[in-house]
Amino acid sequence: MTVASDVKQCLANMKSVEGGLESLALRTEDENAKITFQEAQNILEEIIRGLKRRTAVLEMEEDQYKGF
Amino acid sequence: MPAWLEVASRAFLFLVLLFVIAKLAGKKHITDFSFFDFVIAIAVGTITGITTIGLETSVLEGIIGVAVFGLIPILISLVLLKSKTARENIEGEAAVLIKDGKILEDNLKTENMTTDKLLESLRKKDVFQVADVEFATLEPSGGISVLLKKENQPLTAKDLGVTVPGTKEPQTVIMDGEIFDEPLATVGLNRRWLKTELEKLGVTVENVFIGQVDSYGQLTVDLFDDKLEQARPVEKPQLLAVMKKCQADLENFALATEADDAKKMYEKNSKLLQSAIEKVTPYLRG
Repeated sequence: MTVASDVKQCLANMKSVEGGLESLALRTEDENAKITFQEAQNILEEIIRGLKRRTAVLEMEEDQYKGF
Repeated sequence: MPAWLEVASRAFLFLVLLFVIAKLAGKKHITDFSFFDFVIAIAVGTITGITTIGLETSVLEGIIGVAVFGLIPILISLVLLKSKTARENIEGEAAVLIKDGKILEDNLKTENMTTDKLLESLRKKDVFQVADVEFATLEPSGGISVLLKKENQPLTAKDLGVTVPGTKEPQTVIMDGEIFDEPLATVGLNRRWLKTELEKLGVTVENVFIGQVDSYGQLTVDLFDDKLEQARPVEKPQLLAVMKKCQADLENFALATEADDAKKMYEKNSKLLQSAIEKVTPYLRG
């Protein structure tokens, strides 16, 4: 397993969490909970953006991680 | 008219009359009856009984008796609704029995309450030591109300400073294997959603005795077949677990990478994710 695939897996998990939060935010009746879920979802979006950039870099220079 | 028919028709007439008076009087539980209410109920009952069986008394007189006994208290309750002074005089006020943690012996005496009775009433409220009580009153209905000292009160989320998620009332969407559309619509869901959720739990509608949706749109069911293990909703705890796993992954990547900017990015995102986890934990737990 390479680092790139690990990072990608983490990215996929993050996306699933983001989706889960969004679906909860839509279904929740409680306003406070709704807002909290949306805030968390925004944070996750930002993290996903960072990870996406990183995977792009990793795809280009995979050999840097040989030996891991 | 034969006597038995007369009795039957009188009984029926009074049943209807009493039903109307009971409806007018509104909801009042028998344990909330004051002595006054109690006497009225007995008087009405006696008049009804005498007029029904005693054929020598006239029906009209019986009806007048019941109407006066039945309607005047209703009028009084209307007056009570409007006037505070009337309430104080007719229903009575709550008497303070314990104040600032000290028993007021004089008030006990005026309320004809013995020490044993006070202790008994406190015990019924799960208070076995008078020293635990800050304030207690004797209500007009006869019960006592107890305010415990702060340190003896049950711990609340407010005391602990913990954020707890708000809850709305759950909606019962399935009863006896039958789907109800109105409660489903109240929470903005539909039959298709319910079908999918039931499939996720691996049960059929016919096997569901009661199905409820909580304020987070999670379905919980009770099945007719009690031998089957009931599925609990796992979505929220699972979400939290994945978030924690991702955070651990990010920390791993931060340690493993040799590129400086990537290290910084992982560390920053790990912290961000940690803050998100802290935010949603109260809502996703349990």
